[in-house]
Amino acid sequence: MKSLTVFASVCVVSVAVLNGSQATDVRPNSDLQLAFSRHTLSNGLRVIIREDHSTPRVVSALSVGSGSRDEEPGKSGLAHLVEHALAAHIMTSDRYRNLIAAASVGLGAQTGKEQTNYPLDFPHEQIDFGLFLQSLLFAPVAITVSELEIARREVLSERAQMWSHPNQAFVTRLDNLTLTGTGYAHDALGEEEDLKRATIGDAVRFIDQHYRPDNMAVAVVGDVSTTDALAVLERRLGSIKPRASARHVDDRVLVDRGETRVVMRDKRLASAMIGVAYSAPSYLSDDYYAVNVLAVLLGRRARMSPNKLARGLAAGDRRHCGANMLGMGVSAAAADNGSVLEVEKAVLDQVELARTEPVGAADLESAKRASAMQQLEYFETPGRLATYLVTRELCAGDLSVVNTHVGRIGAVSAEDVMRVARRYLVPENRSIVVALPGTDAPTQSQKGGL
Amino acid sequence: MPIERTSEQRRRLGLRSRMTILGVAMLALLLGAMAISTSLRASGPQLVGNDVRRIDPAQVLSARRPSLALPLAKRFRLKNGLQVVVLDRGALATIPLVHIQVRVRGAGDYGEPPDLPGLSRVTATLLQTGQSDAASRLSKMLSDRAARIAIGSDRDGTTLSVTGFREDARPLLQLSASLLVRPALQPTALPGAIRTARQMSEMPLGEPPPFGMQDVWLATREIARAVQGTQWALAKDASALTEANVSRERVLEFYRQYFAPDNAMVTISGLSEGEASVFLEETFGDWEGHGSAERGLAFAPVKRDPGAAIKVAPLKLQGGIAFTLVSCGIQMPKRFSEDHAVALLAEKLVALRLQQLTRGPLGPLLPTHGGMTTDYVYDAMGGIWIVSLRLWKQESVKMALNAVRKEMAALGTSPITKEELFAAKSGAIGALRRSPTDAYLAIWQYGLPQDYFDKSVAQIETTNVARLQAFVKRYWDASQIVTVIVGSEVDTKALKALGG
Repeated sequence: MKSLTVFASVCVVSVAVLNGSQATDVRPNSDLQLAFSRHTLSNGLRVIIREDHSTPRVVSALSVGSGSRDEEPGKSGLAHLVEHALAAHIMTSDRYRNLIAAASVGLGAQTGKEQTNYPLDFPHEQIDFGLFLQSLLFAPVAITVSELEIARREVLSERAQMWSHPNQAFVTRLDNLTLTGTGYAHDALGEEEDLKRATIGDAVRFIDQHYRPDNMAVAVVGDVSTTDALAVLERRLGSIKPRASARHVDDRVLVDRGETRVVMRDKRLASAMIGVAYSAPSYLSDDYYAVNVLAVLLGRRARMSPNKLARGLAAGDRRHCGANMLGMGVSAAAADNGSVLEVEKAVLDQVELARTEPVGAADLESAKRASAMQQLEYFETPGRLATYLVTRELCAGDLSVVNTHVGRIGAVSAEDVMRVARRYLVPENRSIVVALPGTDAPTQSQKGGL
Repeated sequence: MPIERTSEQRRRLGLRSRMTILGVAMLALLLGAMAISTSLRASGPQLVGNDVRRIDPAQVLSARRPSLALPLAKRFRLKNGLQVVVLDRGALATIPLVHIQVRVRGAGDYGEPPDLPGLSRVTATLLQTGQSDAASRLSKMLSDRAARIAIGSDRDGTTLSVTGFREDARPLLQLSASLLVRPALQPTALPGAIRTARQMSEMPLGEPPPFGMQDVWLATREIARAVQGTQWALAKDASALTEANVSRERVLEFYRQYFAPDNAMVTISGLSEGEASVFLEETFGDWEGHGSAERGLAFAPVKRDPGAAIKVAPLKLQGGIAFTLVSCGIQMPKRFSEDHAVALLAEKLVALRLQQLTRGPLGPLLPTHGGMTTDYVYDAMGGIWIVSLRLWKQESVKMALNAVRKEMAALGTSPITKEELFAAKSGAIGALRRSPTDAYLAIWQYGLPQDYFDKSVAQIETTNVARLQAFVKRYWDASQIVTVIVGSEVDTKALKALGG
């Protein structure tokens, strides 16, 4: 953390000049000492509990370590369909509706590429009821046809909405293109035809294969005592019986697989959009922290881009256990081909500068602080922290990173950033999606130019 | 936290255990019957575990209501009258972040002179611009420190919010004080501040939003416009009138009226009481003056324009997505009035019933997430009840709108079950306070008694069905509903004839 300490002094001087008074001598804290405990229920379900009595509520984040990457060919969207089908028998039932409102329970469910999460938020006095609701997700009575149909209708609707929005469709295309060749190359919403073909047998097989205690974990964060929470967890979730092993697809990230580029036309667009993304290592990699700092620096470069034709520049990274990517998105102010080329060149120039220009000490330290701040704000929210804990547990089985993350960000050097920039920000590792307004096929010059 | 149960609950738990054993025995018998219905159920392997669906969920629910006790905090006042609340971080104490809020009461929409609409936003922007030469330095300093400072106004106040590393608390407080206590209010920055304050209303409908901007932002603006000029309007925009009448002197006059230590409260999370006290004396201790929270606008019921039952806002949405927001605005009682607690309860009850619609006829028409929301927006001056629908099939608007209207009309007469009432009461109690800082701010800003929240809980708990229905009949006047539909011109053209 030495580098951050030095930075603190630099900042202190600048503020003293600004306001004409003495500066603080408080130092950043690299060891968060966030207290939590890990347990295993009698059926093998992993449990993390963090007592936080500053809030009267509790979050219980139950996660299954499987998502869209685990879908077989022709079964895309199945993980998401299952999530909706399981939630349907709670959400659509009059039996539970008023009680859920009476207990002030917030129900959530999200399917990602690697995991399916079922977070629940409730007042601490309703912990038994909250975990009872979560146990309903694993009730032995199989999904009914009507529940599956409700779920199918919902996921098809969600998919249609997503693809009807050009911005979202654009970003999804870029994500999928960047992760080509891995189980991450399709999104959780799946293909329409696959969703229409999915049977109740498909859904139940997926559940049977993946919804197993040894492929699941739950994190409980909030106003609970560890002893009491464990007793309720054992009663409500400890009886889910272990089953056969899950099947995970090969999730190795393909780097250096050659540049991929897609030019598309979208009649709904009023102006062009360009997305540039690079494959990067997963958050389990030693390079991850430097990549994370690099993402912040790229974001700043994007915002400072002098090109007047570019607007709404954005940059960031996607983090997965098995894959990652660094991306920049930009919309061009005009729709013509010349503007698009100019904006693309400006974006690539910024990336090249990130590869070749040494990072200044002040820029590096501020980027590290921004990266650390992002993580710390995440930890301040019980729901986000619970999801983080359970995700990490399922991915790595190692939660020491919770308390060392900020310190590891602090240890990133300028050399580290340059090294990962030169390693990953290369054309062979790049994907570009260009979306142009209109319905015509791209002209030859556009193809050549782009 | 031990789970307390009443003897009745324990009796039920015992009964439940016996019922579960019976249920397990019955399960074996039922398996045969279940096999018959395989055409309706899964053909794949069955899950294994307790048959929790047989448990009566009502037996598991705790009868205890959530506590509304004020969060742990230290409270004190600086010599100049500035109120301070230092919140206990509890388990978050090791996270090295600090959150600071300075609230100036009265410096909002209601405090503006009639000839200067949006003056509070103009002032907030000018304050944020800071000292004459500091704008770029301010921006760099915040970027270097990964800190954020924002100043914004709302209906009845202005708030400065800061988030940063705890080690930066002192310089961040110095910066906050320099912005709030010693503002330059540069005349040269005034045109820019007015532009900013008008930005929301000036973005043309035909202009596609920049990359990443959600359509909902523009749609929300149209809702705000529909109720512009009423006390429930969202943050007021500056207008040509403001531009014609504003001057540095008028801004200064507004500033002097409200921005004073005895009219402000600081809430801090992330510092000890001792640190907060020392840092605040150093930074805000020399703030002088006396402020006033008197409002310039008297509350008066606003009658809807008779021709405005339906407002259709043609909006060029990205890709022409069918997207609709229907805001049914009904005037509701103001906060702290006798009827306020009942209004909260009524809103929750409607929310429950409308949720039911989303699982019935409206289900296929709504987006999966956030398709329908209800809200009761209120403050010390008044309130409005809003139901918003986001539809992705434009042709569904008429059906959805009629379903909502029917449900609303039925509330005053149709039976309300005990379960519904209990659930609505829980929701209303939960909505009384939205955040830890909100509780302290509300008590201070509106001069409420310390037991305000407890009394409101009691009011909600004792409200019966007859009282609720009487309330509905009194307030929910269908002639006052304004419905706003936002969508592309082609999609919304046919909807103009929907009528009120």
